[in-house]
Amino acid sequence: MKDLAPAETVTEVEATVFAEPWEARAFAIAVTLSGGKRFSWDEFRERLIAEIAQADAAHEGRAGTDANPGQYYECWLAALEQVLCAKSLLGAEEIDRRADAIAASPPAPTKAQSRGPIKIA
Amino acid sequence: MSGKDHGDRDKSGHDHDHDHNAPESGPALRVKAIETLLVEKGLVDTNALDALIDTYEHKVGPRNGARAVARAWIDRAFKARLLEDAAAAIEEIGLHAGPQGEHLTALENTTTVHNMVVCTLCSCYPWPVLGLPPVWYKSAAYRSRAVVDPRGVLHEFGLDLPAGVELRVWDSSAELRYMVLPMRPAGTEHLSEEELAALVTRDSMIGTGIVTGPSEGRVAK
Repeated sequence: MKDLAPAETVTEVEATVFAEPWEARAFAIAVTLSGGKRFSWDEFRERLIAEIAQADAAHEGRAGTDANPGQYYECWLAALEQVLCAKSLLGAEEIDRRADAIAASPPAPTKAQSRGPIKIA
Repeated sequence: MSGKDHGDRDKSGHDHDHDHNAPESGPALRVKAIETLLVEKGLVDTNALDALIDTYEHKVGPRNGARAVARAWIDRAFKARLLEDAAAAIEEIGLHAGPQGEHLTALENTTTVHNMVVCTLCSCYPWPVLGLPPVWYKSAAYRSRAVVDPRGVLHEFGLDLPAGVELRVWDSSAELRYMVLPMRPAGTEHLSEEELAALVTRDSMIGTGIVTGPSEGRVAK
């Protein structure tokens, strides 16, 4: 159990709350919608528990290797999708279609990185 | 889980160190699809999501809990209120119970009892006082072994409790979120509340650590 890190002082701990930006988005969506009573926290949590149990079972027998850190939010995301669909807020096919469309669309042009003039004539 | 391509890794060999133009895939793509749909339906607002993330990344964290602990150490009446109704007591120091903190319970460590908190099924955790849980708290190893072999787990955290100390392991739930009120270390009588708060570690408030006093040098000054 290597990832049981030694105690850190409070001021040292918070560098990485989320490992990836998508984890933060998934977190915020679930918290926002449950806060707005679109579903209860328990309705989300029971699905999260089931996903985690499944992931745990899949990892059993591989002693010493704990679940990969990103797996927790993959469980979170799966639970979110399920509760969104169960509450008819979104449909699974609708999500599939949108994901395909985003994947197929050319990346949005970004201007964020050009600080200077883009042309000097 | 999307079941779709999780291979976000570079396929063409070019540097994709921080390429914001790279097409997303796997969970990132899935979340983006969900968010854009929810925004279009007016169910979530992108700016509100940004603000919530900023809160949990930068504003809510174990410093909050450390303030409650330090106050409890210097103010006997506050400590009594914290142990009686922690959700109400933290409001006194400007914290808000908010999500995942409505039923906050503080557990006092003493010379004879040490408390340790786990969520065996998922990741329930007292967000308002500790922020979001560390990765190890969510790991299968901690969730199972904290119950089966808590002293072994504490040993891995570098904490060996005397045999005479009773170890109580508490399972968090959606209804009950626990924070540990660690013991005040000896030799800290002259420290200010702020200095005391700086000594308090996150792990000491989960019960996988204890608070140790300041180094000799700091005490002497």
